[in-house]
Amino acid sequence: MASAGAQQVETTVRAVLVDVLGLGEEQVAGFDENTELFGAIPELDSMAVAGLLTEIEERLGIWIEDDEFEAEMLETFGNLLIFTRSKALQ
Amino acid sequence: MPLAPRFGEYVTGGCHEFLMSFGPQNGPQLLVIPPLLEELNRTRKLLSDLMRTLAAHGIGTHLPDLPGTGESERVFEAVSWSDWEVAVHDIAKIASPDAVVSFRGGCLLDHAAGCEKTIRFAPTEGKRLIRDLIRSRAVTDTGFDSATQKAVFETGPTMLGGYPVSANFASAMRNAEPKDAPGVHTIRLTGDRGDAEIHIEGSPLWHRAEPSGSPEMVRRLADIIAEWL
Repeated sequence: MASAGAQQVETTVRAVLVDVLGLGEEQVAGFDENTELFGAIPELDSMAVAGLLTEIEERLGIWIEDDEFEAEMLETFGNLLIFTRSKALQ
Repeated sequence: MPLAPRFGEYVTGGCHEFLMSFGPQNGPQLLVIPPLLEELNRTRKLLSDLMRTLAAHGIGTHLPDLPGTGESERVFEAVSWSDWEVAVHDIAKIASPDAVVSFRGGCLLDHAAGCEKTIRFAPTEGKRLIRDLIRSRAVTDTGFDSATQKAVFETGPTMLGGYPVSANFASAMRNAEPKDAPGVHTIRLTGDRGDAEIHIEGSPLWHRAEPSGSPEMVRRLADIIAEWL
């Protein structure tokens, strides 16, 4: 069972995917840790990556250094959660 | 047919710049300081829809082209951050607004209008704006490596979001923060961190890859601004 903080990060990340990529709430609610993101979801192309990361940063109050960003982070919903939780809950 | 804008001029730094206005000239007048650079492209519809809606509330609005942007004849790479502050000061002198409404990066410049009342929507820090521009280029341009990114602040000019940004401009923008002032009223989106008097529902259109408007956000913002005025 995820902690309240981890749950809060997940809720925020799901909301950002809906708001920035224009995905449906039901679609995003169905994402699990194995859901592929970059390369699998047409809305998440390279043009959308920066806006997505910046919005996640602003909502979680975190700062992602450029050398911390790796393409793997956006491969799956699970990877994105692991990274954002590690930044937000440290 | 939608309400047509009027185009006026203001003079700043010895150059004529343009100003787009909507609404009555005898009601309350609002100066609009828009989001900056790429974020302005993504929110253009939000702004013009909002200005038309405020016109229907009997409020006149004025949206300037900042030097080096829009229809300006100045070269962007020769424009400094302080040129923009001076421009906002100069626009306020001719538009004599009753209040200022600033958006996103525009909130970093609104103090220069010297207006007693300011409403800010989703203010952000300059360091986040410039870094977003750098990151946007880095994810699509593999040659834009860490050394080239560092040069943005040291040598320049660097093409960011379609603008040749000088090193001085990039550095000044990175250091810019919204200035505290009496009479500032802040609106943020629900879920956005940071202090605000009012939160409203809606999406951050300025971060969307596919620009779009939002009739609900426009209606809500217009109601809040009209009531606050």
